[in-house]
Amino acid sequence: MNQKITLPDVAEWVARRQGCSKREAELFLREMASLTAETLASGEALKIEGLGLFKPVWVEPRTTVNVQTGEPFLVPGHYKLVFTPEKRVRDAVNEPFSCFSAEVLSDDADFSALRVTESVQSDEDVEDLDDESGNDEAIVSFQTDEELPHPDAAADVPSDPVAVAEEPSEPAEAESGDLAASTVETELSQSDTVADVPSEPAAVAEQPSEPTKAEPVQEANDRLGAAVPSTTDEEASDVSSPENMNDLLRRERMRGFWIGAVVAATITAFVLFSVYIVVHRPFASVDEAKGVAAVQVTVPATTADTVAALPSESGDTTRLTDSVDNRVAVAAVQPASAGVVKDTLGRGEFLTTLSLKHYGHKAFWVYIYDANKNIISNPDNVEAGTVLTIPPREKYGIEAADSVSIRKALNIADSLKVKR
Amino acid sequence: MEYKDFVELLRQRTGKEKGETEAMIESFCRVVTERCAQMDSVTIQGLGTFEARKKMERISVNPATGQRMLIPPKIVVVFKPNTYIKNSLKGRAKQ
Repeated sequence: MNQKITLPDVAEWVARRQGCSKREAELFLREMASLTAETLASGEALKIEGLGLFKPVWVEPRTTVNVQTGEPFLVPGHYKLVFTPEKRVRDAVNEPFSCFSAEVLSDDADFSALRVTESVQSDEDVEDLDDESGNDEAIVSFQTDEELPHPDAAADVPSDPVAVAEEPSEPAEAESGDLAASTVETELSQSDTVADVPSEPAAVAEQPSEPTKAEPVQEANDRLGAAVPSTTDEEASDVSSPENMNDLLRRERMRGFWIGAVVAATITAFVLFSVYIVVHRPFASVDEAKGVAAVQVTVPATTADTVAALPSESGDTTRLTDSVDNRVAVAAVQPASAGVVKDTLGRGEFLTTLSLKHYGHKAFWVYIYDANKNIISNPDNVEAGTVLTIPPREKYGIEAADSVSIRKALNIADSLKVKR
Repeated sequence: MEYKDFVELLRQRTGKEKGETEAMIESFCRVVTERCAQMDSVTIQGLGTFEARKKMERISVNPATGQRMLIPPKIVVVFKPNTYIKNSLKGRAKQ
């Protein structure tokens, strides 16, 4: 990363590739450089296959101003050298950004808004669809579908309590005998609506095809069902004291609804998060890692909301255990998918090639070396056909998108070099 | 100069086989590409510097249609010739 490499270093690598001595490679490269320089200085174009085209281009004379004095002066026409890299070179260097493509902007598009979040989100979705196989695509589309009902559920629930909350105002004017009956009524209607709330996540739970995702939701629903009676019990005890009964009832009911809504939202968020983790676990590219980061940011926000909204509530503890359960489920899935990988070193391949192939960056070859120390005597020269164990990323904290992880690997490589 | 002539000249200078010369050039190109892909800069004494530069995303407008395009960010290889090549090219008259 941002290292300055000079001819002797290049000669060393070339020698390693060609199997000749370093001195020989250096002499050759010097000869090649001087021949190239002579050719270019003579004004000839030169094409080197595998690198690109060097071409002198005429720059027309132009006037410009002296920055210090402001005096205009003429820059005479001259030749300058233009280097056009070959497509292969261009693509190799642009690899980190290869996922992007030029996009047409519509005339009325507000660019400032485009840049912030919306475009990033939609871009990622599109890329996901492009990159993943059909099976994953279904899950991605399911994710986006999921997001719709979940704010809706939250929106629906507050509107219900308003309707219910208006009802008790009538009984308040009526006789106390009627009141008892009416509270029973409202209680019933409330428990109905509360029952409706979990039914929505239940419907959601049937949608995903994978059983692992459905289970936590089902479990959570059971817990929800358990939590609902407890709140109604509390209300029953409140009914016994006639003072401010309606206010208490209303507040209690509102709280019940909000709890239901927030629990539903949290569970949906957790399920989405766990699905995301399971599907996208190998964070192959920078963009995906970004996406995960975005999800991670949103999830804690919602959990913080629920905790803040529900202090001293008995349901609190069950919810926490819910979230813990979900995390445990996610953690259990992760190691299962990361099995032991083996790969055979082909001709002209290095540990770095394997590292690039499996981890997305060359620097992690040190970990492959570390895992195969008993087989490899010299990491610079591993025989073709050697079967190597590719350690799982988790073992060494390998993350191609993380510069800290890369630097760590580079440091290990340096220390290895020093040892030898 | 065509690549074939270049290889031939280089072969005469170094006294190597043609295939060997080509293989050497090939691995040189690969090393330069690999290093540039890692955002390193490769300086060849007597020739110049190959380095990777990041280009920001930009909006380009097609002057004919007025259509606006968002050009994504990219990393490109640039070659900076050394002063000898630059100056000798500068001194040349237009042909």
